[in-house]
Amino acid sequence: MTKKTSALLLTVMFLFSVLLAGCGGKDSAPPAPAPGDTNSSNASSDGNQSAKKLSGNITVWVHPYVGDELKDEMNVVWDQIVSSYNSKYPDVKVKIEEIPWKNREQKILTALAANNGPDVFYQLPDQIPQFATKNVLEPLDSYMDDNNMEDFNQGALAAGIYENNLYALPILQEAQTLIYNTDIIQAIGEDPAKLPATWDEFNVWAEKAVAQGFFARDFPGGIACCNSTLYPMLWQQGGDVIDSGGKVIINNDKGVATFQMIKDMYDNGWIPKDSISNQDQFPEFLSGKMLAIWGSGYSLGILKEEGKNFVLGSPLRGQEESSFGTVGLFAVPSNSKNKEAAVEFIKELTNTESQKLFNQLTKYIPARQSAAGIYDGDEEMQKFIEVAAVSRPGVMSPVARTIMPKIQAEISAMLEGSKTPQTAADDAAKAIEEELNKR
Amino acid sequence: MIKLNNTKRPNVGVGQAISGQPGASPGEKLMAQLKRNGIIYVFLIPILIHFIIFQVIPLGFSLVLTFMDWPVIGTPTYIGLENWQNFFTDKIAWKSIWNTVLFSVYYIIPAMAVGLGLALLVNSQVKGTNFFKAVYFLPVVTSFVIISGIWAWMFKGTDYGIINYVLSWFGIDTQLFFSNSKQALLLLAGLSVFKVCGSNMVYYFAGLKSIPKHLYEAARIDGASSWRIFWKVTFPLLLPIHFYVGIMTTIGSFQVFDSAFLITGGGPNYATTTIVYYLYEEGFTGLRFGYASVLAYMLFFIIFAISLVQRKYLGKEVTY
Repeated sequence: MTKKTSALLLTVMFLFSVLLAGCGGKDSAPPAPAPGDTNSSNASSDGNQSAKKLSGNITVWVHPYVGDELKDEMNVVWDQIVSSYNSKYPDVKVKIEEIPWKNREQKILTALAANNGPDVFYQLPDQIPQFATKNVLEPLDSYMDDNNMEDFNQGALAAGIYENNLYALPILQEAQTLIYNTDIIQAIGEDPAKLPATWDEFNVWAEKAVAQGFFARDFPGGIACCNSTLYPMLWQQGGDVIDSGGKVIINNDKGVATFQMIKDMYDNGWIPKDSISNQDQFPEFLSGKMLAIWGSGYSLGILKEEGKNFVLGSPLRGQEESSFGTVGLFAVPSNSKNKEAAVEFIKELTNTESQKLFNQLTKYIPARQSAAGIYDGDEEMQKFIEVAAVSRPGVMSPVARTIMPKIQAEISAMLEGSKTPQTAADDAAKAIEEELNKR
Repeated sequence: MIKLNNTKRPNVGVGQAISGQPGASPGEKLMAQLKRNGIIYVFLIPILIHFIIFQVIPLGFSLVLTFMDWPVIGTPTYIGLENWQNFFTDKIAWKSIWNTVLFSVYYIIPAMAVGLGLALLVNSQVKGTNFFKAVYFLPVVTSFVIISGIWAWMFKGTDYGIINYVLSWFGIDTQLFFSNSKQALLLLAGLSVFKVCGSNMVYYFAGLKSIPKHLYEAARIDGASSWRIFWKVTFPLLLPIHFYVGIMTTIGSFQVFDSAFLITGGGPNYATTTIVYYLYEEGFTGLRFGYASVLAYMLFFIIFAISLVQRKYLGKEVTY
């Protein structure tokens, strides 16, 4: 290699390294402002809505609420909502970004922490207290004077409220209830038109089904715990995890009775033996091994697709009738640089027309009463709307998420036989209290 | 050999000789260094910058986090040694460390043994070795999510699970597998062995190829059996590969996360909660990044200590 070539190579490599170093420097620099930052309006959170001259950009994070086959229709819905919003606020540019469900929470967390998150994002009820206590959600009360709040289903709206502050507006509701296999009902000599309404009635059916080699129902006690497994049963028995005063009551007499019920179902073979770790027992129901499954409108869709004979039941009544039903809400992060435009967008997103468009396609229950008409004449969806009226969105506490694996561990220990229902409930209560006392 | 040891090292660069010259100013020394080693610095600088940004800074920052209540979102506060103190009284943390150690016991030696066994098979020159090499390597290049799904399906803890069905032919009762706190971790280790043994096979295969043939010929002439040749020639001469594979599988075993995340969710009753899974849960679900950083440091100390022990016993040089 000649000196000239060496010098040339050296120069090229030097420039390359400087370039890379420049890139590295960029990485370590403060993150670029969010898209919503550019040309941001002087919007403030003072709730002054008289001068609605909004401008700038907002970024909205949504998720795949429908399967790939309906993706184009979903995009049309977003376009219609944005177009309606722009007819009021033509100077605001709305960017809809679809974020996959997988790891969505980590993506939101890291984006918010890095100060380059969206201006509007989707929230689930049990996250709202956690995010609200960290002061990352913009309180919405002061913006809501013109938003016809009475029209929201109050149960759905409650999912966006924590410590008397509104942090998110609901767009959808889901309700869960028991779905029965009609063929098994007939096989056990019962009438599909007279489904059990109470636990006592269900127990009679369950014994008959188990005697004929079927499972009575599902109990996916793995990761899916506890919203769709323990909690509805606990509420139906009149119990709860934490009472309205913040006291842990999972181990009161109603809680212990619920733990005992689950233990009995397991020991008597009413639920599959792998219920300790199972995350999904829908295949058992689909293959005709199970009398009933706890499901939602989504389960119904699959059953129809598979051409199965089924009938929609009620959530069972013990001390009271209750069910779990998640609520989908939209929130504005407190570090959004275009808060007022973002809040106005979630108002648009959750108004009657948008709820009709969105829920008609996604087959969820609208969170506004004025939008419920989309399911007029649809018996099954009407049933889900009825169930939604007695549904709860989970445990509304900053530790809602972190206590689930702890409760799950206690139920596992109980089902394995290493703890009694009383000890398991007591230990669950202790673990919840420890979580509440953590920073 | 003795002569060589007494000889001065010949690889002292000319630049070093100049810089070592008495009377040279610091500037001249620097220029001489740059002139001689400039190209090395050009290649080194981008890598160093990358290393500092993505390794050193996060490492230092995570140490700072251990003294903070750092919720990712919201306002961080300094809490001194509270996170470290909490670790010593956290039963789940200790359980997760114990589970991780158990997992390593179930995983490291079998993963190495199966890898070596497969390498010996494909090295035996029987027909179709290339085909088997590809088959054994298949799990390595297949998505872990897919393999986990298949594993969970096979080991379903009901009488209609496929493995339980096979076991029933031999009169063995239905096993709960992932629903049994004594079996779940073992099955996760089995899954990891299945996933990694193909890559261990490749390392061992390369090691086997590097052993000179004349050593085997000499052993055979001396009348050594295949068994004896394996233990006296092959196995000791694979020491550098044992060292590398041992370190890599050990680190892998202490970082196990995906199988627990995908299949068991840490259950039943914390039986498969490993240290990384617990760290993830504390960090991303509990939003306690300070405490999660303490767990990360504990993991670092454990891996570091084990690597030192492995280096002491396996990290010897081998001469053929």
